[in-house]
Amino acid sequence: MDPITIALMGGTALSGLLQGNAQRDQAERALQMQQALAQEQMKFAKAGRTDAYGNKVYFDPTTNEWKTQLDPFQDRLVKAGEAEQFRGLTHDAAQNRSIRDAAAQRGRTAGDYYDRLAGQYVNQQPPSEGSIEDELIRLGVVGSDVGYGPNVSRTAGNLPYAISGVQNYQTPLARLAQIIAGARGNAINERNNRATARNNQFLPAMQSFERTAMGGQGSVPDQSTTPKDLMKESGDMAKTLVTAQNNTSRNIGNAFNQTITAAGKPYEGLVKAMSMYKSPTNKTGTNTNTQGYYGGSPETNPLLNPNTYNYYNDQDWRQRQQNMNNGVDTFDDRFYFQGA
Amino acid sequence: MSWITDLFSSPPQASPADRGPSAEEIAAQKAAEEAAAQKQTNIAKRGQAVDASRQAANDYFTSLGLDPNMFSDDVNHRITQALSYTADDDPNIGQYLDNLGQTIYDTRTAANRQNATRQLDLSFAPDFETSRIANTADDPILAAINNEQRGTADDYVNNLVKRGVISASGQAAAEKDLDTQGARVKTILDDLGNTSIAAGRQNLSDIVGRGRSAASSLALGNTFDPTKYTSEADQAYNDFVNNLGNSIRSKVTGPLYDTSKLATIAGSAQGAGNFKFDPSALAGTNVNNPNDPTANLFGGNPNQRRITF
Repeated sequence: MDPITIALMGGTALSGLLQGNAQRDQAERALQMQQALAQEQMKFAKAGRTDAYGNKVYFDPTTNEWKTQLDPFQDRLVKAGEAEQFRGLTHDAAQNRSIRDAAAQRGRTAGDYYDRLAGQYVNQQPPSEGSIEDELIRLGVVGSDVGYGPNVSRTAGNLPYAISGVQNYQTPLARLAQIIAGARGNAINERNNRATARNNQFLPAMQSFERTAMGGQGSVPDQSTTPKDLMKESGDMAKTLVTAQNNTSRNIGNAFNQTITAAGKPYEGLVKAMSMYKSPTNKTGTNTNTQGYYGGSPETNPLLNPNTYNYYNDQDWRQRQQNMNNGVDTFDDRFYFQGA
Repeated sequence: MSWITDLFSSPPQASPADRGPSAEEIAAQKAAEEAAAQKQTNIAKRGQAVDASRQAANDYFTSLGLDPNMFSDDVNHRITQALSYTADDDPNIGQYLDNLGQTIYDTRTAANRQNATRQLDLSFAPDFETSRIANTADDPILAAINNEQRGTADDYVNNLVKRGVISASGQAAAEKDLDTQGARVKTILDDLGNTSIAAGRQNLSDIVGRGRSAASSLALGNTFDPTKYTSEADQAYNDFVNNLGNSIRSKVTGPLYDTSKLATIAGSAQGAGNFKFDPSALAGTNVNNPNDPTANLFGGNPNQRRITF
């Protein structure tokens, strides 16, 4: 090989080498730029936001969760709800258990009384009509003058009186028949009256004992009604809060999706992790989430009920605002997005 | 140079016995040991649950003032049942023995009540009151009363005949009227008898009703004696039979046969007697009056042949 050829070959190789290095540098710069862009987008995605009520929402990389700093109103709702739940699970539950145990004991006693009354009601019927009629006849005969006859005319000696006595005379048989007829009619009424009185005596008592024997239904609450009562006190403020929470979370999710789309595949894991914070959607992509991320609605969650407790303190609120401005986070972060 | 050969030759392969247990075998053995230990633990828990249930049942009976020994057989029976229903090492047997004492109490109470009711059923068959006091129980008494009443009326008619007030034809008419009245008298007497029988049956029903009430609410630990009610029913029946006559007679305080019109009826049947008018007879003062010029008009007894009402 001649020297010229060798020189040409070396030049070509050197040129290729230099060109390859330039391309590699360009690719590396492009990658760095992409990484920087992705980091910027990720930074944007993780940036804190403020919802409609001024709540600060931020991403906590330590726990890989989005957290919300509650405003004083929400904070007292949370704490009030937690306090109420705590009381419900401790004091109320124990008290209700005691009440129900006592009710069960009363139920057993009432069951015995019910059995006794039922036995009397079924087995001890009121006297029969015949028996009552017999009693009435006996009383009617004793109280009447069945033996009275027309002989009175013989002692009076007064003809008109004697004639009157004969005309008005009622034979003993007729008088007895009259007594029997009257007794029969009265016996029917008397037995009906006794049956009615017996029903009035037994049935209400049996019903009452039966109700108590069934475990005190209607007399003892199944559970504490406090949470239910509190839920009833929900207002528009809490409902609006729930709606705002939904909207805020949805907006955050959309922004994050845009960021992830720009960032590409390396963030699939994060996408998957964050997807749990998105509002559920149906097949048409419509948001179907009707509950706040705090769980439930004011009707079902006392935490969202503005009337649950009222220990709002302006002093605390101002102190917290000041702490926030100073970068000191003293908010209770226990409550955060928990996913739909 | 055998050491060189040994150095490069592979060691002899150990037999399976020499190799010892494999990892899988060790894991399996460990699992078996753990399972056996768990089974023993469960069996122990099972025994504890049974003992606790038995003690709870005894405490329940004691709290009710009952002797737990009375129900030891029931407790053992139910525990045996629960043991047979579950696996040998099922530690959750307690759920089958929950409220054991109360369950036994309720079961025994219901059984005792049914038993007591059954004993009463044997002594007092359904509708026993009717079979015990038959509808014909008052027939002899009613017949006797009717005969007595009719006898009194017959005596009255006979006296009219004896006094010569009515003739044989008049007597026949009077007796026929008494026969007519007899149907009504018998009906009235039947009514009186029926009501008396109803009262007697009611007494028996009340006794049985009280017995059934007591049986249906019999408390566990209390005894039920059906003979108490059978004796009471027997006594009530005897009293009824012995007093039935008085019960009916007490309602018959006057003559059931009306004799006030018999003379008229007899007189209408036999025709006019054409007796001379006697003002004393009309006034009812037909006694011997020495100043009465009509006295002894016919001779003999001055009361004879005068109609008295």
